[in-house]
Amino acid sequence: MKNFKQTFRGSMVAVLVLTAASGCIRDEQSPGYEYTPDMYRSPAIEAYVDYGEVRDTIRYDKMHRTSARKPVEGTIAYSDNAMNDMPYLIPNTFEGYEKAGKTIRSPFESNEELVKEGKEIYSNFCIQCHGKEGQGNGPVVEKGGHPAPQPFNQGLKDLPEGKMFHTLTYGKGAMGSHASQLTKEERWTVVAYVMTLQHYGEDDGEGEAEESKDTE
Amino acid sequence: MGLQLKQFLLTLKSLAFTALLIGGLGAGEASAQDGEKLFKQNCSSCHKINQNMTGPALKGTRERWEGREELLYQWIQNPAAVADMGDNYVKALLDEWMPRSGLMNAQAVNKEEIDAILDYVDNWEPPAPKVADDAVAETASVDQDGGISSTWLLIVVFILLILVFSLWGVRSSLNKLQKAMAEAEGREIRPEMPFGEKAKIWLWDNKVYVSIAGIFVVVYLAVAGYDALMGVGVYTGYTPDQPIAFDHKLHAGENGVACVYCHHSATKSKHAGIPSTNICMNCHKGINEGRSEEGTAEIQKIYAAVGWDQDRQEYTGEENPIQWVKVHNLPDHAYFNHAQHYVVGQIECQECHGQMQEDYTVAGQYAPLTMGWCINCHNETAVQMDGNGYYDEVHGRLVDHNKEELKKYLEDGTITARELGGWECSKCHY
Repeated sequence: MKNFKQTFRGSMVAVLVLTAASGCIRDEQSPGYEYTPDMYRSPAIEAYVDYGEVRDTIRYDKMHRTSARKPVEGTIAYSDNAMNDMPYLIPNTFEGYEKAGKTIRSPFESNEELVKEGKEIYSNFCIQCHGKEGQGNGPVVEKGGHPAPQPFNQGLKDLPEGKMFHTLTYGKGAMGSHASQLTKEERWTVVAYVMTLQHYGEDDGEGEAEESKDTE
Repeated sequence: MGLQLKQFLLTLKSLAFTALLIGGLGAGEASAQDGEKLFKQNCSSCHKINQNMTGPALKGTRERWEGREELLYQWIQNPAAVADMGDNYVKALLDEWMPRSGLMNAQAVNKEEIDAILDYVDNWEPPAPKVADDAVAETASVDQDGGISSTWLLIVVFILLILVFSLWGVRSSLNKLQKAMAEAEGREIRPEMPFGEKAKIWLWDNKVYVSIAGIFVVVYLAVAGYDALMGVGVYTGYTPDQPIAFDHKLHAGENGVACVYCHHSATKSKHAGIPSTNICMNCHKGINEGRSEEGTAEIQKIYAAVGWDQDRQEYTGEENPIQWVKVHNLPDHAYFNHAQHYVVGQIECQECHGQMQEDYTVAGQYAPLTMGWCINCHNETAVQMDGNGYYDEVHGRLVDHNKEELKKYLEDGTITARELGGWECSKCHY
């Protein structure tokens, strides 16, 4: 009987403690109770993790340090796609911009498939400013107050593909560089779609045909 | 009959002529007055009216070019030609802006249109910050409400405390009085019962109520305890404050920015990625004012982090990385890959992260991210086979070599992730 009493008391205390702990878990500011931290925290370097505390060892010199970093300057990426890995050699200057317009050509032959892929990228990475039809009226412009880009079929109608690629890589004017978001292959793919938008609204233009086909 | 037709045609002609005349006049007026429209068409992608952007602020252009009116028209229509003329003001302008923004493009506008634009720009006044005022008023009233209710609570607690102390005082003095009276009368004083004994007697006297209350307490504790145990390692609802109060509702919802625009590595890597500040600056180079004062202050935090000089429109090189708080912490012993789920599995972001564009300002954890939750989805989710070359290949092989196997998969009409090995331990634990 006495044993039972003791067990009962013990379990009541345990339940009380756990109830108190449950309070911590519901706190929005705290990630809550962690079970077996040594299985949770990776000793190998993972992205976005503070390595100030690993396996109960506190290392003040590692605390609150930048974990997302740029690769060392001059680093050349290595993947299975040589096009993405090759450095882009034209410099980010005004002469470079002109040079890109004259000398750089897309490595891809524009076809329906490529344009479709380009449209997909466009709808994730360009549409918010340039708008659905490239008229420079995306929601970030209309509602967010961003300065409107030139419509592709007016001010940018004769923009050569090399300049587009150069602008995507380095940015120009109000537009920032998208090189960190899009690989070279993706940049050329979206350029193929933008080139159809340069003819948007033309009676029997490619862009128009593309639009009407894809709008559901 | 012929005459009638002729007359009719004549009327038609004159009607058409009038229409043309009116139309022409209308167009002329529009080009003279619609400076705003012209400004938006031709200038606004590089110039703001009262702030420097890619090019200088346009307000006061006429003052700055005073005495060079003719040159100004030429400058706008063909900057390259004017740049070569060697005018002093133009030279100063080029020295300041050329290194950053290069030379302006030639603009296809005539003199009247330039006048319209400059009229619009000079008469432009910044809009009154109406929305901001409303927002401030709202927060102020909320604060007031909160303030009042908490003061009232304090007052009530204070009054109750006074009451408790005075009653306690009354009771103890009564006890003393009783004792003194008993002593005076020479009666025997009953020894004070210990608290435990008293409590036992009281409990026994009220055993019905006590047992009912006891049942409630036990059930509550059991439920709460179970809840607490199940919550260990489950971080649903974890919504920590961030150094910048990024509003997902505003960016992804209202302004229609795709999730993967900022979290772009979700398409290529294991991590969806906390966006680097250059991606913030892709838009916030052009948008430096929030909807409210608070919003503007948050945008200023980005500038401080990347070292952006707003007036000079260039980076100072002084960087202070933002210390974002990581929300989703998957244990090391479980592997998860965003690209696999987003690109190949074609799972919408919202399926695991909730309606981030509607329900969240700063990010919070929506799904429990427990193993049960993972494998439940693997069990239920049909694999998207269409247009996926990998599965075409696999199916081809099954059809060629192992028809029985394929039949087994297709029995219920769907192939789930589980049937393709989504329940194998080593898929995620290795």
